[in-house]
Amino acid sequence: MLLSSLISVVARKLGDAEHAVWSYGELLQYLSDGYVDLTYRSPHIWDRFYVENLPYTANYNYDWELAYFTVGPIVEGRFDITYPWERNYFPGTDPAANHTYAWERTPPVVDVTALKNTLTNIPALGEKGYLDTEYIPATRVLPEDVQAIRRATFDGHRISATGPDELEAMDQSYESYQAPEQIAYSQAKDGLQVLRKYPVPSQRSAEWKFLTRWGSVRGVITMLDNVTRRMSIDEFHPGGPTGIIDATERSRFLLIGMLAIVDTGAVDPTGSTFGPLSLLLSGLNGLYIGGYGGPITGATAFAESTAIRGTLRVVPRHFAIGGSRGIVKRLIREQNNFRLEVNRRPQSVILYDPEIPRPFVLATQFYAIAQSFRKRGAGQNLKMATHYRERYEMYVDRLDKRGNAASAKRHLVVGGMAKQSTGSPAFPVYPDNFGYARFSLRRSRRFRR
Amino acid sequence: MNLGLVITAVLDRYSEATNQRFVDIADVKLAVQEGYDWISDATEWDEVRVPIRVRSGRCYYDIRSYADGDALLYAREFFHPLSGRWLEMVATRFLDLDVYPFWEEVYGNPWRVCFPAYGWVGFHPQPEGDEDLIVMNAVRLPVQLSANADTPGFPSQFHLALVEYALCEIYSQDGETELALEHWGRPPNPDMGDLGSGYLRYEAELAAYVHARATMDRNTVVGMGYPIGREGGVR
Repeated sequence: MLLSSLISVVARKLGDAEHAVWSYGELLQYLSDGYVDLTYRSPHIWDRFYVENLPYTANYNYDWELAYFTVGPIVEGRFDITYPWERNYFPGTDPAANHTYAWERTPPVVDVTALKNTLTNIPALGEKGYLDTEYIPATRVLPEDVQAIRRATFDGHRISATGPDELEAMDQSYESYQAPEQIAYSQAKDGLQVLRKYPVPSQRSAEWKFLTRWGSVRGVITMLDNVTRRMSIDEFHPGGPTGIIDATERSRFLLIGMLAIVDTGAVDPTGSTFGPLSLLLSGLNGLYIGGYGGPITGATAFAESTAIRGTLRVVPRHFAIGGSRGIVKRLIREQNNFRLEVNRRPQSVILYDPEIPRPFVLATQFYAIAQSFRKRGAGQNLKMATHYRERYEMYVDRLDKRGNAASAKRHLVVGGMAKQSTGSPAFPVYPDNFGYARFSLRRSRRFRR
Repeated sequence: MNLGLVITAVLDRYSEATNQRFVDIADVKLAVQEGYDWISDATEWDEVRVPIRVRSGRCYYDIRSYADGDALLYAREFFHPLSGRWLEMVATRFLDLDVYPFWEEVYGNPWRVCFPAYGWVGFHPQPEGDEDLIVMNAVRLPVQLSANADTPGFPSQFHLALVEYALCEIYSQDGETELALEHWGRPPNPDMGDLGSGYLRYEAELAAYVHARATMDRNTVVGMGYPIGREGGVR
């Protein structure tokens, strides 16, 4: 539902459709507050992103410089030191950076035309770029909207959430010890939103190389480890899986969008498709991006492209970028990489359409109505404010109950597969007749009294 | 009682109480639709059975995509027809720590399901083919009432709930606080012999009806059964 219609509904329910008592901005603020409150108290927006093990790219020193990034340069990151050892002499939490543009850490770009004609020019993944020394930081500032980390993985498996005391006990030099594989992370001592990986990464994660700067990802079927992995747009698609029509298993057909289908077995089906398909090469280690796109290459991955209509939203093992809206801007590989699954705050309801699903809309409205009735002055009605607040609280309780119901439920399986014990634990203290013969209770202290 | 009749009933009772008719029909319709959403959310009566077409290489699914857009309330059970088994619900942490660290990469017939977050499920193992199917039993919000002939999906003895809800909203808009709260009512309190009143009474009765189906037959109590609101149920 659009924000403007939400405000209009709230105003009508307040009996103030003309905004004589409560202004548009006021209701907007109340709705926004309710939206944030609901998602904070009952976190339901799940997101996944990567805190990549890559050299830290940074190109500004102070926050005020951000105002000068208007057109042209890309904002990369903030830094104040250029070597990791300087951290002991400088206050602050930003990692060390020794380059200012992301391309400096990536290998040289391959000519797209050459790539089209031969398979031999494809650079290996993970090879170094132009940097002689790579500083892969252990700490990274998390986005401000992250509420809680639900799960962290390295190379596809869960790693431990630890406190700094545990890390100290385990390894006194946990801030400097380097290893290729991370086994734990902590969130303390380094700053409120700072995440620390342990050990400090010594090896960069695998990375797709982009050979173009234009267009968006349209489609792909990759074969990794001899398993076909499909990507589709339907995971975040509110209208259901109608946006994709797949053909049979591993048939090399993939449709993204509504109308067209491309046989990737064909040599060049460019002319037979709808939409701005520009380039398709069969059997090439390439993944194509958009109408103007070039391939992303990989030595270990065999990727084929089907660029058709629509846009790609979710990639298996590469997950959506930018939340439930927008398009995939960049593909990130799971291999040797650090993934976070988090609860995050919703995007601003003022700037974006609400992310909340239909069942949540009513509760947000009730919050706004309660706040409006609570306001002193004309229109104040404390009884109705309490009434609507109670309805809002009822809804929050209901959400919590549903969340817990899913995790508490266990399907009954014959053979002892149940995981929860409902019985009380063993009695923690010996009975006072411990050590006496079973039937001689009279000899115990209680009976002697 | 269809939407048109519910609106008429609201208007009749409104004018009966206030001896005037200044209410906008659009407001009444909106209130009835909202009441339909609210009571459906509270009582979870709209049960659906939704097929999820699982795909090779995809572990996580946004189940809201399958149950009529974002109207899904929650998923109750999952069934894998190919292997003929109900999936075991487990925590993601259990899969990580007790099953296999790389469980996201295991292929085979799914027999476990985890819930990483609201609206999302993960199947373990992942199906190998793209033609596989998992059936989800879920509860959702019903399709909204829009035409006058549209009838609420729950039994007709509870349709008056929509009238009471709409009256509460309309009186609230008018600033008639006492009347609004009267139509909102109170839930039944069987211990005190109170049947409840207003909207909350119907909501409680519908919830009892939904959650206590087939309990009458399972009771061994001598007599006619329990009074309204005392079905007990399996909530």
